[in-house]
Amino acid sequence: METLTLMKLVFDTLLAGAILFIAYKTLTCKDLFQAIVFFIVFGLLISVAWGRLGAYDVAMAEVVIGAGLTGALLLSALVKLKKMHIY
Amino acid sequence: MMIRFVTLILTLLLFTGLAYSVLSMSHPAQGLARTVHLQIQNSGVSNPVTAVLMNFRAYDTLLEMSVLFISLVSVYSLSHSKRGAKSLLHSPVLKRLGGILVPILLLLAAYLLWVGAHAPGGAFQAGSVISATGILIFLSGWKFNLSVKHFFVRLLIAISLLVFFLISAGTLLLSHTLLEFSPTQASVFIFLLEAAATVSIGVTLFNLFVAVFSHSKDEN
Repeated sequence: METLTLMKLVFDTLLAGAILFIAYKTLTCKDLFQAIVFFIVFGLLISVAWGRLGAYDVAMAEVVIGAGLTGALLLSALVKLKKMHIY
Repeated sequence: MMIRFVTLILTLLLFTGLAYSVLSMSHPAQGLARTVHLQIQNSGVSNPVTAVLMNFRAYDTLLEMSVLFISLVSVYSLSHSKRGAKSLLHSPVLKRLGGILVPILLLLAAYLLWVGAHAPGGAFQAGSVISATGILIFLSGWKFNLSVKHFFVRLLIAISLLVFFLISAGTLLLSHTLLEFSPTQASVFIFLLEAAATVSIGVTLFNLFVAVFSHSKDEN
């Protein structure tokens, strides 16, 4: 039991650190495509965090809308942006 | 440089404020969980999240559906694609994968809608799974017409708001309260609302994607 709580603590700390790191990378990286990929990864990690908090409804909504659909929308917007630069 | 400094100060102030408010919370936090728990048997469902979203605060969900609807209308009015949407990707692997995944995803969406009554799940999750299925089909290059131009698709997009308004008007006329269900009929009304919301969310989110994607195709 003791090792399980310790493992959970280590996992939560790593998760929180990873979320902060990915958020920083999303905001600072120069390439827009990379930023979108980081954003999708950020959404997935956030949904894991919601799961750890016991909010499984929010976790599901986050992983489908936040990571999946928003990522797809951002990628298609990026394609459009690149086309506009050519003209 | 000056702006960066000011932003840093403001961010630090915001962080301090947030940290202070989190640390000064009474422990254990006095939420509304007990109130919801006491009323749950009157709500028609046993999942507290669904009970809050579809019964206790149903007008919040009504407004959320309106936001989705308005966002699709504005995206559609901004895009000026003439032709029907066509996919950019034509991969046999994607096509085969779609053939396997689409039935499973639709089944998953139906399950999520059904399970929302007593466990995590519900209209938003099921609807977004449906729209993800649509995007998968769209990207696999399958020909199918689900663009906003058809009356049937427009009906599907608006059906959630229509059902919401009809039920609101009904409850308003019968009991003079907006969206307040009697405990015996609540589960039927909630299922109606959730089913309509699932369809609308699925078609709306899918069309949001297609509106942006097909537009970029037209500029070739």
